Amino acid sequence: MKTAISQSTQHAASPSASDRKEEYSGNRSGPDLGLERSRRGTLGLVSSFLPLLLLSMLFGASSFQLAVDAPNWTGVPALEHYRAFYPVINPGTFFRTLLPTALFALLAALVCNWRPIPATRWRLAGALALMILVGVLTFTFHFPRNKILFGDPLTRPAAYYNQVVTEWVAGDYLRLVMILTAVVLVAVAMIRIARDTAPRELRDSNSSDALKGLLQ
Amino acid sequence: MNPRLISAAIALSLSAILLGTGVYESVVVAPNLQGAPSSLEHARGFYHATNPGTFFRVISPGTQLFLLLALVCNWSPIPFTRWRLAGALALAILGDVITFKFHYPRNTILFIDPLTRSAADLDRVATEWAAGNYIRIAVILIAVVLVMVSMIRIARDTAPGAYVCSNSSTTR
Repeated sequence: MKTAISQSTQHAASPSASDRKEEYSGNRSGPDLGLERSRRGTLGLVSSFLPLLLLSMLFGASSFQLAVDAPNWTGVPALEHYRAFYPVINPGTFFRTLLPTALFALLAALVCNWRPIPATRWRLAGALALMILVGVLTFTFHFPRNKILFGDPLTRPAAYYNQVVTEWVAGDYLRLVMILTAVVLVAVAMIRIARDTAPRELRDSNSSDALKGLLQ
Repeated sequence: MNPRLISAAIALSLSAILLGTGVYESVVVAPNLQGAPSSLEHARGFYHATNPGTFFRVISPGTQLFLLLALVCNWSPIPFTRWRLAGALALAILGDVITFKFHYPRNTILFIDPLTRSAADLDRVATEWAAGNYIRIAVILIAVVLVMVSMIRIARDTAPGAYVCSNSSTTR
């Protein structure tokens, strides 16, 4: 009975739409705030998940090229076979899709995680800067050598091509180091985001465990 | 950093590397195997020093080893993480079973045996190889997702006490 009266009183005294709006925007309840924070947290975590996957894939494909393709670029006949084997689709097709996708995913992760933790922001920004540098290195260093090895007529002596391959490989090691550093930065950022967006009950149980550890 | 998190992170990186190379092979190598026998002659002529097998014979057991290590390091604390990592390890082993049972016989036909079969027959084998690779990629992708979800759980579970306390107090 008491509940029915209080419900009817509540209904009679319900505020107008504008009042409700004002009340909502001015003094939002705890659970709503928690839900929004949780949504943002999930978005931040998922957005860091994707670039980590894409960068690791890029690292894998680049190391595959370095370990499997590059040692076979010895001598003019091998380069001729390589050109003939990749008539339409070549490694460039793959990297021209994966690198911009990884850059875009990193940018999205940076935007989604801009505010909460400065350390995470700068780690993601560092990873993005490194990946842009990878793109610059590819365009300025590897593309001219790709043209010599896989585009231009093979009219020069074998020693010249071996020299170009050696340079290409050295540049690729640098590229791999940069991608690996970006992978580590994104992984560390993801760990930080995962901890920061942990559900409250997990945090509470963790902190109580930590307190127990301190007390023991 | 603690061993639980590091072992899961290394397992994740290696699984993702395996995924990246699998996708690379599907996108770049497999379509060029069509047009036998000349395409296969060029592939054989090119892969004279090393071949993709050289790479996978290192990275695949390495991934399984680190998945096993991550499973051992994370065996007791959280049952969910244990079974996710065990699932990822089982999938990584399944990937190798597919390689040995399905791809190896086709690798022999495509890259080792004399090219005496008909062009249509060789193209069919190359198509089967590519289809099998898609299944292998799907298997590894599921493993990567399982390890990634485990890593998030482990990261939360191993958060330093002081950090958790300060973090939860600022949240409130």
